[in-house]
Amino acid sequence: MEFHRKAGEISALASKSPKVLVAGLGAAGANILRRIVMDGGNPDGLVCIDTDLGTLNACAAPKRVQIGRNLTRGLTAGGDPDVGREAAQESEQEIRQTFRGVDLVFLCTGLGGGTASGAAPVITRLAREEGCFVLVFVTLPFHFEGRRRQAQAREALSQLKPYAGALLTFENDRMGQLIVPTEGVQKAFAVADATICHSIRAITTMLEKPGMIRVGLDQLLAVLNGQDARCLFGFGKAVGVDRAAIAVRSALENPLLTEGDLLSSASTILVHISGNRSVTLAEVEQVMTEITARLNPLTEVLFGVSASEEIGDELWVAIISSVNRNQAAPAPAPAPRPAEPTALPVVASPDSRSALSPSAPALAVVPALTPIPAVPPEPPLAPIGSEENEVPSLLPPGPLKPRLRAPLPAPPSPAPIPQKPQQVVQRLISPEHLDAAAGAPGPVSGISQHPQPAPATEPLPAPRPLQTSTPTPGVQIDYAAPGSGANGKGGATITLDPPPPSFLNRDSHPPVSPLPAMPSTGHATAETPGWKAPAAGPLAGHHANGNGHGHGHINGNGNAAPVNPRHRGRFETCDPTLIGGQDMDIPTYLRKPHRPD
Amino acid sequence: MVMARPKLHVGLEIGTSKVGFVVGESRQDGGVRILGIAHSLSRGVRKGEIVDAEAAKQSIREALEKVEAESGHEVSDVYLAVSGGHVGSVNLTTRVEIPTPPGQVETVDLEDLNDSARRITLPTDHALIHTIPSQFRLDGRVNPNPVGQYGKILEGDFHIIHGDRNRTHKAIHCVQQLSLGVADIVFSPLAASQMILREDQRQEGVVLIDLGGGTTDYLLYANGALVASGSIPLGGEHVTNDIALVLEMPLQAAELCKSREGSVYFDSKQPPRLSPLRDVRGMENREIDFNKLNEVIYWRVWEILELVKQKLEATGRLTQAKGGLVLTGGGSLLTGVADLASKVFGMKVADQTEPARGGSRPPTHMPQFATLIGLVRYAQVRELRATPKKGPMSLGERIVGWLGVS
Repeated sequence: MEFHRKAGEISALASKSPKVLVAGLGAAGANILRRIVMDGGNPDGLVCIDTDLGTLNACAAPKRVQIGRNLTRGLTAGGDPDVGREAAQESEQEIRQTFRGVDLVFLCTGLGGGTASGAAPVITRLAREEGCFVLVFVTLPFHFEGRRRQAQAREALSQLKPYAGALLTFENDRMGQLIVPTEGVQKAFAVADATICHSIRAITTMLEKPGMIRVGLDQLLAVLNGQDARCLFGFGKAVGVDRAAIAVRSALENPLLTEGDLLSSASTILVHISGNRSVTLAEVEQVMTEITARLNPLTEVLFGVSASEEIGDELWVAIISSVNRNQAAPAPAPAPRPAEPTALPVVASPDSRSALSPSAPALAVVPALTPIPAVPPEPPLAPIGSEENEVPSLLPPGPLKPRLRAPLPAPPSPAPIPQKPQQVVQRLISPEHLDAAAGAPGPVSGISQHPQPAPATEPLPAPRPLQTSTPTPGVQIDYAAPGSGANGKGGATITLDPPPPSFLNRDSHPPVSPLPAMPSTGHATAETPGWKAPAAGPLAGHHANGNGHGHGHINGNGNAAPVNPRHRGRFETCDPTLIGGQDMDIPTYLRKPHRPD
Repeated sequence: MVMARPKLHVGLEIGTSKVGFVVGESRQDGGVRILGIAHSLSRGVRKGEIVDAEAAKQSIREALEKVEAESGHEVSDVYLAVSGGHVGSVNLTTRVEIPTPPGQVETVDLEDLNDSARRITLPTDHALIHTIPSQFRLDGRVNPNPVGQYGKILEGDFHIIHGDRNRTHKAIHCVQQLSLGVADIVFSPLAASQMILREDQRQEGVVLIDLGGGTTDYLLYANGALVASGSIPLGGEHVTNDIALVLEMPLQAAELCKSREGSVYFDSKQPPRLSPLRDVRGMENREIDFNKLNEVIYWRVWEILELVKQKLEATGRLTQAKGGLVLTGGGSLLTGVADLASKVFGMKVADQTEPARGGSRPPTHMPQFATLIGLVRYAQVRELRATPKKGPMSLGERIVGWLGVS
């Protein structure tokens, strides 16, 4: 994906609440729009574009744009992208009119067909010319749809790339894993639509709801950036006591994340949590912990939380990332796989034979989802104080009393910091002492670096694409993260397990609970969140089917939290300070594990 | 005959919580006399670095006016304290062969040593701030002033402190745009150490930690020499910010809570003490869970200290600081911080009631001004080396002189 929007424009966009339009192109696009409305989304921000009058009339979106009126006379493009393209060109003015004044456009369509494949690049270009930033969500045809559609889809993709601000591709094959074959093709398509719908809603919620923790467009794009990137997307929602655990597991099990494996090849991921006022900090932490347990410690996590009163008691978790195509594992070749019970909205059936089109014998079976290797249930946070042989230390639960105690044993020291590749030097303010040009040492002197044991203390570059200009010191400060390795167990030390969620991002905000769910008055113990180990049982009971309130308004301030409105406080305008993969501007109190008291 | 005017030294620190100027003069007995010290609220500085030059200049201007009024002197050149997470350091040894004849070490040889050290390649976009000799050795034997002695191989251990050129220039430009000259730049804790650390402490080995508003700076001395230094871009403002975010209150209220009531001691087993901030606007009816407040403070301060410790451990020299820790900076005023530091490091914390150098107001009573006052001392030592009769001193002489300043 390439960004043709200049950096300045992006930041201008990110700074205000953008005017968003979700445009569905073609039949698939219309389905997605319908899905959005069914889930309670606000129809006002939707527009349906197609050549086919039938589709347009049936569409749930109030705004409709018929393209190619003269060309196709209200009929479809007949699977011919050239027709689709000309139709869009014919209706250029109308299309421009639709997008005028809009900041952000989500264009969704299913590539492969005529209208979608042909018109999408044109429409994207026109929207861009009208000054919109366009995020394009496309599905790529199922295998069984045939080679021609696949070729057309690929061609359309390459034409979209120059114009799309971000291009997210969803492979139907991959999404189809969700479906048991006996459910049929329609269901497969429906679920594919639903996935896109959810991803759009997650992203729009992320961008629009001021929420406690805002993710800006530029950060989102940073996550999605990449040449020929493939989108990873996981979505889950749940209600009830264990909703956080259920939702996040459901998100992680989405095949678009390939059972969580692909996550480890992503360099940046975006996690978005939506809930109403009842979302607690504990739940947020639970979600983040679960996710980061699957991640490569080097992965940066962007994180957003929005308050959405409309979704009622549901907690939504969306995980978005992208990996480069060559890096990601290919979509699994359709192969027979034993069907197993899954945690997904669609229940797997033991029958793994497909009733699908016989013309695509390659897809004899749509593989059912294999469950994610069970994550052993464990308390979300290992209490630091519970290590058996821990020296009575300054760490709670024992409070830090004024009486002195035995000093801690020295933890293992981190590896010496290697020197960075280097350059010639200049004295800062006395130009007459410039030695700049000379690279070689003088004639009589040799330079020898101090041998160990005095390695240099200097900034170590952190290998992150989004590294800020502040070089990060190369030390780790590790907190006990639950379930993510146990190098701290048994050691009476402060250096423990891999770091908890790293909140790299420019506007990242600490996961402050928006509400007085945390005892802030009156009660004895500080934090006693519902920190029981989530029941590891089947993730039943989370079959949320949109019976909650939908996404709702694009505007609207669901956040009534009494948090300092400048969410990052003093560091609102700062580059984050990254140490050991963590954004140190987030309160330590929030990053360290809680101990149940 | 021209009356020798006592030399004036002016220090400027563009800190994250405050911008401070100090005007001092050298006394006959080698001490410094502070003529004026003033500060203004710092704006536009975060984590020790200027993020908004205009705002920073405004703060500097305010402080400048105050100090000129208080001291009765006009300021022209300043010694500028620098800090920030970008500051790094490295130790290295350089070596020269003494040519024979004459076989005697001359000051030019020391200059060669120094020049070699300064030619070290630094990280991209970094430039030198300090090149501090820590030890000289002639034919393997330690020699504090080898000039004039006979030998073959002269070695110098240097501690190089470097920083990001752009960031440092930003600060320098701000100052220059106010029509002030920058006589030199000084890594902040080095300035503070001038006033705070005694020579015996340096010989014994000591860690100085300056808990500032935007950064936490540290120095490690071993056997009298500076062997490690650095800056972590976390400080008191992070503590305040943490409080504001976790306890959900405005920054100013958080700052007040921290300074008035905050400590690192918290006991989650006891019921929280609740007490309102009556005199803070908007917070009159707000009850604060002080347990939580202190826990928030505790964690951040712990983290900062832990980071410093890890950085120092990475040098392998931490164990050489037999003299323990010395805390300074505004953060050292926090109740219990010495305890906490002692536990984190497993070292004792020195009690700094006795000022290192005579003549000043005991800076230990104002640890937040340690750097500022230290700047004056730093300036004094640096300029004292230039004996008026000889004119500008040679680099070699200055190098030797640096031994006393490091």
